[in-house]
Amino acid sequence: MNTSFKIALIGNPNSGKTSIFNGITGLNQKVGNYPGITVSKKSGKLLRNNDVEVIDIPGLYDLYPNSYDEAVVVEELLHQKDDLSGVVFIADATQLDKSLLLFSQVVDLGFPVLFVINMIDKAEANEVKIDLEKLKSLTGAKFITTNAKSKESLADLTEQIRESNFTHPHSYLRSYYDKLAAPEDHGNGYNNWIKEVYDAYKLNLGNSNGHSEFHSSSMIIDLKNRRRFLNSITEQVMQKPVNLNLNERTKWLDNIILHPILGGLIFVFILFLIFQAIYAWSAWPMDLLDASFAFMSEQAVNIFGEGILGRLVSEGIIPGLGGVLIFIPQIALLFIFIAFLEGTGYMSRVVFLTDRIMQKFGLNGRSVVPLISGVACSIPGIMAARTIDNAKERLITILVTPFMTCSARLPVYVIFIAIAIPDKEVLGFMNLKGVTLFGLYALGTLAALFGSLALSKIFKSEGSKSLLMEIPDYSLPKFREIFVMTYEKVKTFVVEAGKVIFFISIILWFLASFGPGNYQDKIDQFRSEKVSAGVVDEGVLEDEINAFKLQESYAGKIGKVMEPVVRPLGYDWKISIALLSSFAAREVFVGTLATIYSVNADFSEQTLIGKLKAEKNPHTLKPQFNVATSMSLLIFYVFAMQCMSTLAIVKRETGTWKWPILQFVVMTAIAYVAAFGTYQFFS
Amino acid sequence: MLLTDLKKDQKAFITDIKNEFNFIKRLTSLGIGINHQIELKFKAPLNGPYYICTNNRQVIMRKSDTTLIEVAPIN
Ligand SMILES: Nc1nc2c(ncn2[C@@H]2O[C@H](COP(=O)(O)OP(=O)(O)O)[C@@H](O)[C@H]2O)c(=O)[nH]1
Ligand SMILES: [Mg+2]
Repeated sequence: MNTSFKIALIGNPNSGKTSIFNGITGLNQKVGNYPGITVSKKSGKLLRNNDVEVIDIPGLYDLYPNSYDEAVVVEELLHQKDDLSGVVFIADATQLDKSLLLFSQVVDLGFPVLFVINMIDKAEANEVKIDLEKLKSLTGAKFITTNAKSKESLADLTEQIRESNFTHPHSYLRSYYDKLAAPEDHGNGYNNWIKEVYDAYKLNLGNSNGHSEFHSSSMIIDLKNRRRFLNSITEQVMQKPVNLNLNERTKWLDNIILHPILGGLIFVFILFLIFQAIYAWSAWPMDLLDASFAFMSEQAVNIFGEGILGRLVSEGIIPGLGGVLIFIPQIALLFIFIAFLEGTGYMSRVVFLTDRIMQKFGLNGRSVVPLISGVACSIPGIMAARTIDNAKERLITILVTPFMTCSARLPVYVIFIAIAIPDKEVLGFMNLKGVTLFGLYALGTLAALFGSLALSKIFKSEGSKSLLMEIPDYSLPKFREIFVMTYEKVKTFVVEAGKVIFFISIILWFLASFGPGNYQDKIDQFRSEKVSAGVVDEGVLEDEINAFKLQESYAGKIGKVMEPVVRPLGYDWKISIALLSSFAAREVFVGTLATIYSVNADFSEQTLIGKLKAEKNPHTLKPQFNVATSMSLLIFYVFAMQCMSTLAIVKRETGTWKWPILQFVVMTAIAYVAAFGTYQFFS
Repeated sequence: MLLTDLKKDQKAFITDIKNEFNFIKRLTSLGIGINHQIELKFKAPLNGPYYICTNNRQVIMRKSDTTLIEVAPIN
């Protein structure tokens, strides 16, 4: 055949469309994006037949959108209507009953169809039998069975497509819609109806439901009728091994895992394990990365010299890259866990166990894992929010996860608890410092939970009213799937968020390393003054010069300009420089203080704490880091969004800068007010 | 009677579903509709979700969702 034509792959999510698409197009494809959504749009050329264009339409269950993403896909389908010579409808053989609904709608739109019953291997393994002859006579469609993993069955499919073996199956409700349409639209009645639904939906997008009363009730009748009719078909053609009986293994395990007490304990244990992994197991690869980048920085100085280029590479570029790659161990570990738990079927049980509690805060059981992961680091947590299918609940989870106390806050907490909180026993067995630390974690968690409650009210989150999901049978996860998911997540992070993190760290480095006016002259002058004043110890001299450099840099100047803003919180310009630089990562706060207070040479927490305790406020001559200031800083860090990497990943996951900016502004405002209140209370 | 009122391990047929578009859309996408046989397997404590078995698959739904489904118990 020589005429060129275009076909589309349509089916429910997870029916194997992408696998088949990859199989029949080879590497001959391009990936684009639908405007405004994260679902990607793939098109490619049929293997050994460049005249046939194949497009992979994102998975749908029916043609009645109730989310923006679905609406975009439906629009695309309507838009392509006249260009498509046929639709390859793909169904998972074990889920045939589900997929017939979309199939019947596609048929009613008037597309010529080739029906692919995929995953035939899985159906055989699960003893699901399908009577193809009967299905053919009941639907009038042409069928082909495939296993997307086998070359032969895909070759067969490719051949069918090449020969354009599409037919018009029996329509079910098309004539009904034709009767409703104007005579000149006959044959197009269902198209017009879908288009009307779609247009109305787009017009109504701001509304809670998105559909008008009239459309909703018509769609309901349509769905109910189709379901009833199609179920009578599946009953005739699909034979399942055990009817209405849970898979024995699933039944046995669910009695334990969903047990009100035992199930809860198992869940807490698994959470503890995940937390331990992100928090502790990731420590050594992170230290290793840290050390490697420090080593590379040193080497860079040797290679590029101590001039501008050398410094750009050793102090800007290499640490910037390091700042991105350092997160890989945590992200990888979390997703190995998530993919494993998802693969076993446990993740859906978590929803069953925790939904009741999460619902009280406007979320559902799916939000638990992202939030708990946030205790180690927000970034993998926010990426894990992808498993939440309700768009608003996912957004809320993304927005509140940074309130959870991540591990980067810990160095800040340790220093200021040491300064502010006396070593006292409370209730005879608890240390007041430990209690304070626990209190800070609890405060972060409460902020996340009540934050989501507030957001769910603001967003009028509809989905939180209802929760309906399938619980898979237990199974052993596949190593490959765990690997692929983990790899994808790490890659997304490095490529997408990494760009922003890298860019901002270069800017922060520039601000802290260069200053206005004759910056270098001032430093040289300072050095010679110190030397002539008799400072001989190399370490002490370097520390003092570094402190001076930072003061005179752009960052230092900005810190001074910012001082009036942060003074009500009890901070001076030195703290404000550290706040600014800790935007790179919260733990940088401590490092910056160490530089400002010239304790880098023999840095240890104890020297820094000693130095901070001795620091006097130049106006009042009282200790600068008194209880009030230290408490105010602690509270500030509980609430503040001091992490550019998190903002970068929120941008990546939500697709717009709107949310990270809003998140930054709101969290900083809360932190400011809370720190102000704390400072006033303690002083 | 409503699905809410079923007891653990009790079986029933779905006789009607309340007309809420989002709910019906989700239910039909799971292959569930009128005339289906279902069995209540677990209820999470403190008015938590219901765990239902139907069509050889397991589904969970919130207690509030179970009030949208009308059932006729089998014996
Ligand atoms: N056993 C088996 N697995 C398949 C088959 N086709 C796809 N899969 C798997 O099913 C999952 C979903 O497939 P995918 O192509 O992403 O589905 P899509 O959501 O429709 O694009 C993947 O893990 C595939 O590897 C098949 O014929 N047999
Ligand atoms: Mg796909």
